[in-house]
Amino acid sequence: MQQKNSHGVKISNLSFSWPGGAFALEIDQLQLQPGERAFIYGPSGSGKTTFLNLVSGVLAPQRGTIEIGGQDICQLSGARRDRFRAAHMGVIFQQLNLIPFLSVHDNIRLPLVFSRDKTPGSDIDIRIEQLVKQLQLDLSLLYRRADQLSVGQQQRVALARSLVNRPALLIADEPTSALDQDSRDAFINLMNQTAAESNSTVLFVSHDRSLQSHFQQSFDIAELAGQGVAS
Amino acid sequence: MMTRLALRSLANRRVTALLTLLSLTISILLLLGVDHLRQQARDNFAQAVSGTDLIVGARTGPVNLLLYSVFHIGNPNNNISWDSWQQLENSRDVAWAIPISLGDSHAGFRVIGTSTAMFEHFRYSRERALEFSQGEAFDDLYQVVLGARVAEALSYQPGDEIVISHGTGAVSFADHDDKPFTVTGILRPTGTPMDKSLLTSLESIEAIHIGWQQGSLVPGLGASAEATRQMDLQPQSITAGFIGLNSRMATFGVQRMINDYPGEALSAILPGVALSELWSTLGNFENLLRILSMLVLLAALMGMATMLLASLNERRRELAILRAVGARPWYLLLLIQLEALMISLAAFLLGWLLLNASIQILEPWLVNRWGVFIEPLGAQAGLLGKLGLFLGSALLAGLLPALAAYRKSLADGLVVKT
Repeated sequence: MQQKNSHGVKISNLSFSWPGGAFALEIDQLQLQPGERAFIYGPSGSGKTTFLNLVSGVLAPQRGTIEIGGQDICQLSGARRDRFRAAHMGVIFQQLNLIPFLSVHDNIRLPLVFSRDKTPGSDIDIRIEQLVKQLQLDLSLLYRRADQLSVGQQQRVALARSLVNRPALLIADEPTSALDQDSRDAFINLMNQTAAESNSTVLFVSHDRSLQSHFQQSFDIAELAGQGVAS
Repeated sequence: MMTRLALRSLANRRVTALLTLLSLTISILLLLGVDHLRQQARDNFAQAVSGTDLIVGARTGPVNLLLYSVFHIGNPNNNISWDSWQQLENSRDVAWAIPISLGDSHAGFRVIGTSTAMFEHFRYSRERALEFSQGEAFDDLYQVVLGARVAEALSYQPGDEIVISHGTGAVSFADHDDKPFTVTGILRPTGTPMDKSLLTSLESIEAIHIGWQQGSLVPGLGASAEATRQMDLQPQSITAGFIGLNSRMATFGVQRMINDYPGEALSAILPGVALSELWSTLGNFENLLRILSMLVLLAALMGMATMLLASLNERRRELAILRAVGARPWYLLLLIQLEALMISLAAFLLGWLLLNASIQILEPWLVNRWGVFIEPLGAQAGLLGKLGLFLGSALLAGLLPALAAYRKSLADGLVVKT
């Protein structure tokens, strides 16, 4: 577990363009230590979506390396990248993070299903209960349908899901945009605390610069992307 | 997990999923039903007569003669005179001859005037003779033997008295109630039209018609049951007859002889040849039914594809979430296919169950009204093949939405832009 987190995130010489050259993204260098928390400023149209898809391994770049926990995911096949994502990354979106008709428990368990995690079910249950308690959710919610929860509760469940595999990298795409100001800060604090416990590197992407203070480093995606031009 | 995802997802869209299931179920019911009925009708017809070399009747088409003589469907347009029949019966090549005389009924079941040769020589299915489950054959006037279905439907026992009606309608206004018949025996079930027939002697048929003209009893001409016994009860004519020959080799010769009979216009047919002529007549109709039921199935499958395809728009988030937690695009394709498979499998089982249930419910009516014996569908040999073929077409139909899901998930990645 410690082994895989020894490198954090390292992106170098990255170059990606859509077929037909509609949009291109280039990143010379981005390096984060394990457990480090970074804020990425990404207004809409800045190439944020492409950046997220590349880092998570959904898209493959034409050139460059993306190392996560010491593994260059660009060297992996599409299927292996998907499995790597299931095993070593957590992803949380703005909203509607959960599959509405599954239980909270099933939603949190999903990454373990796709990483074919061999951990016994009882151990998984213990881990899920710990996470849920840590995120200040009531255990009685576990077997409710996900869409019966409030938005704030749903975002915390989504956080639990993105951390259940103790990921090397947690990718957060404006997870607080549907929350009010107070809940926003509370949520980010909770996220940072919980991520620190599994020594996960955090990439928090947002267009809201006021959140920047919660993070140790911050980048502007437009600067990272160099001459990248939004379509 | 994939099964749970597919089931929960379908349950989440239960109204559209159920409607799709229903339309697929109906089309399966139709497809299996048409095929089963066709098969059963063929079996029924093929079993009804066996061992008879020729069927003789007044000059008519082979199919028509077969239908009215064996299956009691339709009515003869003419009779055979008793003299001609006698001559035929006594001819050198003929081993046995069974006369039949139709035209009367009891509670909607046909009464057949015949001779005891019927019990001796008639064969059905694979050379099976008529057997009695109770009692014995008639051997006197005003005695009758019942087919199994008749006895069952009307709860008759040997010794019961029944009244025969003139004509063959289910409701008759002219009863031969002055000459009641006694039941002497009940036949074992045969699975042929014999089950819903009543057998009596030609003389009895003649006796109850003494004094009848144009379908009613002429006042003053009738005679009492006892007085009738003294009269000459030799019939003037019969409706048709079954003939067995001494040698199969003679079949065509005798057939030609009958067809060229100078005394009156007669027809002789080979039951097997007439049956295959019937099939080729019905074949087009059967094919039409099959094509129609396949078109209905096609429409239902397209409905399912449409349902799955339409659901993809509201499920884009779901697909993106699955991608985010590590599902491969292939997984999403298979997930949609699994949903198609589940709906189709449920529809097939449901359609099969419904078909069996409706056969159970409709069977008595089918037998009584149409004389068709339909067995339950059961787990017949071809069923698995049909299931496989159906599931295959369902997967083919599901491929369209499944590929769409695959492509959408690749295009959307993790972030769904709406």
